Amino acid sequence: MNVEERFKALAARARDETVPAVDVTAGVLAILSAGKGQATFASERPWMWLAAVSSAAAAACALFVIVANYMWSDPLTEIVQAISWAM
Amino acid sequence: MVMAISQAQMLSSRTEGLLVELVWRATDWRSVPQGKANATADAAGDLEDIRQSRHGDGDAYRRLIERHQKHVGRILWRFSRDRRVHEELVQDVFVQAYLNLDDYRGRAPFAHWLARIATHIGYGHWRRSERRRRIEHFSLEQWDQAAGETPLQTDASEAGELVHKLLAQLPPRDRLVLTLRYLEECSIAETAERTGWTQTMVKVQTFRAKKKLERLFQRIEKETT
Repeated sequence: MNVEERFKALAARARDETVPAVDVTAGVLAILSAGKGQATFASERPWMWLAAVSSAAAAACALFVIVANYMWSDPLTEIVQAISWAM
Repeated sequence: MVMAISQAQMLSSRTEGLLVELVWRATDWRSVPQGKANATADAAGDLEDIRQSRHGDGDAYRRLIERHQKHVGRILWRFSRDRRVHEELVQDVFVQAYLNLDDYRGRAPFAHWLARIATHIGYGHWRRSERRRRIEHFSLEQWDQAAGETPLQTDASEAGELVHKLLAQLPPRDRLVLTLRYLEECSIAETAERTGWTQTMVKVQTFRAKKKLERLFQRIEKETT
């Protein structure tokens, strides 16, 4: 019997091996509940969406305020600012 | 926006519900063998538990783990025979499966999907511990002793240990392909499915791995003489 045949025969015998029993149920649920490994239960998803929409709205408002302030600023203020630069 | 999401979720859960019902109705319980009936019942149970798990039902996911951990444990025993590491790997599979549960489309049985994740996690473990792989001592004495007996006379656990030690001498890719082809008895197509490689790649890798195995024996023989 050559190496390959012997290996195949041993592999076939190894398939009959009894594998030690594992019970990971509690461990997995504990990890998921603790939020490790970026686990997020589905019940948290609406809050994530709400947070994302709120953040986007806040950013848009901030941008609008900056642009509006820039466009509608008082011409007198601009003159004063120009004088203060010159001084 | 929230309305749109909840409508989409409702539609998706209705579709899954119909799918489960179809699986149940498609099976004529009086005409199929018991094993096949159990498998179909398990598949329907899996789909229902997956649907509930996606909605955050911890008990449904607990049932999925309890149903599949033996199968996953068996796969990962080929990747690590250290009980502590083995348990950690099995745990990682179910955590990864939960995090990617939305990607499961139900086209293949859930057990096949888990087997793919288990293979990737086991392979990752080998790659991380590649530097230490030669520490596992393999002697020709053990091999000769086993070779002197007929395979059926060899203890299954000893055979498993010996094959594990032998494969540990090879690089992870060769080890993976030989494990899947000979220990897991996967076909070329199944190996390709489990590894994500093409079928041609699996054939080439198997050929190379077998050659390396032969060379390994020659090298060990030279070292001992």
